[in-house]
Amino acid sequence: MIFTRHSTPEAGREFYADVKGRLARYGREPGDLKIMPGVTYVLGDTDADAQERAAEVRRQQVSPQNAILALEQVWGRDLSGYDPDGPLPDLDPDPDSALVQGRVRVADPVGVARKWRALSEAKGLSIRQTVIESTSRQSFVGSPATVAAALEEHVATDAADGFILVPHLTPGGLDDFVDRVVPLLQERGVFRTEYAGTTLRSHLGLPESVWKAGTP
Amino acid sequence: MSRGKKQIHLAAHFPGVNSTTVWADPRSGSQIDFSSFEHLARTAERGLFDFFFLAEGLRLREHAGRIHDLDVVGRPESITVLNALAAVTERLGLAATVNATFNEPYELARRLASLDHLSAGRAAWNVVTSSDAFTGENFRRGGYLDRADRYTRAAEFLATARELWDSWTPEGEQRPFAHSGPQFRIGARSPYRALRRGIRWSSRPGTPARGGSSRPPPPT
Repeated sequence: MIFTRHSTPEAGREFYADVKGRLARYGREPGDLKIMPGVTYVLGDTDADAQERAAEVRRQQVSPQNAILALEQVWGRDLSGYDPDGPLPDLDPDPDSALVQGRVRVADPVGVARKWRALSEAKGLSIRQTVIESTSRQSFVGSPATVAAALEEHVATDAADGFILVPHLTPGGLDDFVDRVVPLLQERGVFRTEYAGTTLRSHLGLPESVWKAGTP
Repeated sequence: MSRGKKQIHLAAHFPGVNSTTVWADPRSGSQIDFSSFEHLARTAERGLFDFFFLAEGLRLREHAGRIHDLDVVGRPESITVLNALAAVTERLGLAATVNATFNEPYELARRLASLDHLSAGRAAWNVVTSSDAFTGENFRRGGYLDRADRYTRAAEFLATARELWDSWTPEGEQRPFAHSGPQFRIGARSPYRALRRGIRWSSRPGTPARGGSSRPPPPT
């Protein structure tokens, strides 16, 4: 199992082919390894409705306060004096900053800052709008039918074997997906209508026993 | 189900401590109560998902010397939560993210084998590593590993755990176990024959795994 990042179908297919192509060297079949990107989704009654909800979810995820937090994570500086609805700071990030502890470090803060500034200038975006644009894209947005078709397309074209859904609400965030999208996937014949077995291996279509003799 | 069509695998991740999670919505409930984990897991099982997946947080993150606003204080430990979920689900796979930079292989092999046993073959381990000195302050007598060494340790950690799980033959014969390597020297009889059914997996580098990161080891 590989838990990976969701990306474009092209990048997904490239990663999928690369990793699956290595398995034969280890005596394994392509189906022995499943590649499942983490994805987010927003559903609506229509595609337009879903797009509207998605924009609202992004505004909720990136509150004015969170926008400054995200900015400070890149810049490594105290930017609490900046207006979330105003322009980005002129000063450069501090690459040796210890402002943020315990989070994965931004690999190239100067590069990210340059990209964010360019985006902000090109589209006339505020700090908060820039953070929303740069960090909060949902993977699948649309009506249940649109989302079901997109998921099927991704898997059918070998960009993934499936998906790890990351809902944005606790505890009800999966309800609409299970009630509205799963039945459509089942109708399309691409998702089970009952569990075939009781173990995780059986769900993933893997052999039950992987005992390796003589390892110790 | 029509044969020939490539089947989709679905799983669910408990909403994390990053900006994906919406807190401001009136429907947003507790991030730590068992009822929240139970509702999401039961929904995933109702949807016939392969598994339910928990991240790991080993130290509250800080921002300018204060606890990061998006972190969750009091979040229960993942394997403990999954053991509890095993009792309220029947088929759903239960995947825990556990760090191989910290922990000890015998102890972790035992905890995962116990989850696999209690859930009758539904356990999975998302192997991650950490080179974060800040998180390391809570472990390894205050030490941590640099980037290259953490993968060396993780590889031997994984190999040792597998040796422990495979020290029982499928026929139920328990064989003496001894591991001697640069990272670990362990001699033990493993009381667990489980996790022959479990799944080992890994995250791709860059996958948001908060504080930990990982790369796919060569398939074994």
